[in-house]
Amino acid sequence: MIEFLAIYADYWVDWSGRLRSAALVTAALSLAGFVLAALLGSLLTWAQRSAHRGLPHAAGVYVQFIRSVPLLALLLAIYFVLPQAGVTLSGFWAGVLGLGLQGSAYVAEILRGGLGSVHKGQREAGLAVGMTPWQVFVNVSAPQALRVMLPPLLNAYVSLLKDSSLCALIATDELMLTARAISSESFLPLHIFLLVGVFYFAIAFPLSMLSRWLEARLARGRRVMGAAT
Amino acid sequence: MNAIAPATASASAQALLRVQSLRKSFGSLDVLKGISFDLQRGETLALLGPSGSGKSTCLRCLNFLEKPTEGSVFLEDERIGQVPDRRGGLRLMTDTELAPQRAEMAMVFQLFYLWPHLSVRDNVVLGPIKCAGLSRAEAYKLADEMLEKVHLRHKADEYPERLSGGQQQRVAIARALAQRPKVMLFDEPTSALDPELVGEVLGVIKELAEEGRSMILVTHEISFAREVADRVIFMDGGHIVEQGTATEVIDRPQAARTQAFLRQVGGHAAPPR
Amino acid sequence: MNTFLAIVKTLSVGALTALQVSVGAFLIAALCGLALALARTFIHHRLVQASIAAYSEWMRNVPALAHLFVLYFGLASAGIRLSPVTAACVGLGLVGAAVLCDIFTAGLRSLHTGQREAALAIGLTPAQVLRCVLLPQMLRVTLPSLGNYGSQLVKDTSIASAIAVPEIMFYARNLVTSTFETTLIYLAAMALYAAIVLPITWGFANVERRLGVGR
Repeated sequence: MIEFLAIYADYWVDWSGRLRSAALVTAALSLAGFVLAALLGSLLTWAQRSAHRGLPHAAGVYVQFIRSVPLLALLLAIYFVLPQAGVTLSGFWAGVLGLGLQGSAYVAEILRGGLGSVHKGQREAGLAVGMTPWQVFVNVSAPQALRVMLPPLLNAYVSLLKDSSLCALIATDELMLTARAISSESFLPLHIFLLVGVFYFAIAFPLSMLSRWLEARLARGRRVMGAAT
Repeated sequence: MNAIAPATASASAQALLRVQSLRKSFGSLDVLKGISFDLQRGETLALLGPSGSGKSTCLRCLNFLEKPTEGSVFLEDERIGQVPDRRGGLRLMTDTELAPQRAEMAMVFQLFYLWPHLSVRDNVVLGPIKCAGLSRAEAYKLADEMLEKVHLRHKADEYPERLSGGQQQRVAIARALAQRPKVMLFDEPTSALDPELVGEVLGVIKELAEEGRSMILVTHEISFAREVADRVIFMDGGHIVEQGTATEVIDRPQAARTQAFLRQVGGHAAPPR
Repeated sequence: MNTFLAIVKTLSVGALTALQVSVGAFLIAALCGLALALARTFIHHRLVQASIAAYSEWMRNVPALAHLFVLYFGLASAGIRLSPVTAACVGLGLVGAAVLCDIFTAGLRSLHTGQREAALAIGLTPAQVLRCVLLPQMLRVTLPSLGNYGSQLVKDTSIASAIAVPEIMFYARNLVTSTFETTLIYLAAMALYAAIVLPITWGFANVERRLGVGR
């Protein structure tokens, strides 16, 4: 055991430096992917609730498709097939696009749950007071929905963070690819892959804990939803 | 079943609220089958009837939270909820178009529907600030007045979840009052309250009636209706069965269905003559 | 069209392997997950609770790819050589155990405690209570989540291509280098996954509907 850990001491400076810069790429990759997922997800939610003919159906088909296809297939398709249509994306941007597309279905569902958690009567009370639907959304629905959506959105981000590791397979210079490179150089796969696990853990775990804490706090404060006590 | 003949033309012209031939269907279910009545300025009107009679639906049609299938509503001679369309007929207004009209009519709901993320004071000021364009200072002053009216000024900084049902409903009434509405609509305001909390809410409603506000009250509290209402309408099966002054309808019901209902509900039906 | 069908045929071989890995991983995940959930719910020992929590957090906050690399490349360097399929089953299975542990724990907690007490009061042994009262209900309650996990698992087998498991994506990438029908190949791969995952999703939805889950 001691010898096992001793190896880390030898390689720490080299490995930690490289992993740390790779971690920045991973963070950027997952954040960009998340922003895209949030944008697309909002669009999707709007489409699902839209009165325009065909939009809800199209949105439904898109969601079914995205949810039945693995992320890796999506990433490889974006990275290798799009160039044939003239659109060549780097590993990073292909990763952002893939993560964003897949995340959008997830985010759309979170948005739906959040908006649905606001009791219909609250909106009615808003309209009855003389507010326009937009004012009701901004002042009544959105503030409450956001509170409910924060924990699952954090979880969605953690998912995205883990999924970003697949971008190593389309040559993106993030944590996992760096770990593989180090592994083939040093012939110490066990050490490096456990270490990279620790790096991911260090980013993801605090966020998971935050999400859980927020959820618990939310559950405690929610007794009255505009209904009788 | 005959509804009382509609008011004469001159009386109608002075009526605050005119409801004409209101019909509402949910798919194949006809809930309102032609409701017409007037509300005079300063009058308190009680809508009574068994569950399913359509009285709540009728009330919600007045501020177009339910869209009537047919019929018209006029507030001070202004048509509510409908505008002429290009072909010379009428179309329903969108919620955005309806907002200014709804601001003149206030509704108090059975389940209060206070906004839980806002304090009591903020619940009351939101309407005046966003809809009437009051400044924050003016709105706060107005809110304090209205909360004083419902005897809850000391709870202004609390959040709804810390209040009892009766207190929440009174805040809802303050919120409605802050709209400075022309007419107030109460949709079974005490039906969701524990019995010991009903009195405090009815007390406030009584004070408002005595002030001379124009109110329509849908309620199960028959004795309260008799005490507070100027006129009573009894509805059943989507029709107006009987209407008259409170003492007329509740003490001396003419129609058999009214008699049966009051007898069933108990407490106040006088034996028919 | 003929090329497309030929591609699908080749990839279908990979589909069988993918299903193999899915079933293997699911079994490991279900058995271990259930054991962990039962321990978490009924053994109130601090060390036990802490270990299960630590295991769950580690498995769930680290990407599956890392776990697979540790099992396949990492263990090999330490002398334990697992076949790609074994490594994939174990890796995905261990991650799944953490996921299902959380799902089953929540499911057990959601059951009214009165159920257990009533069963014990009749004279059933704790083991019988578990078997006849708690577990059947827990399964009903957790069915939607299990369905989600199942379809996700099938998709996650694609990750195993990175440790040379001959499943769909593995064949797809090889085909791309030998023929050059990139678009058709990846389209075929996606269609194949959809063909497997959608019936699973619908199947679970059907069973849920029949059992009246989700009230």
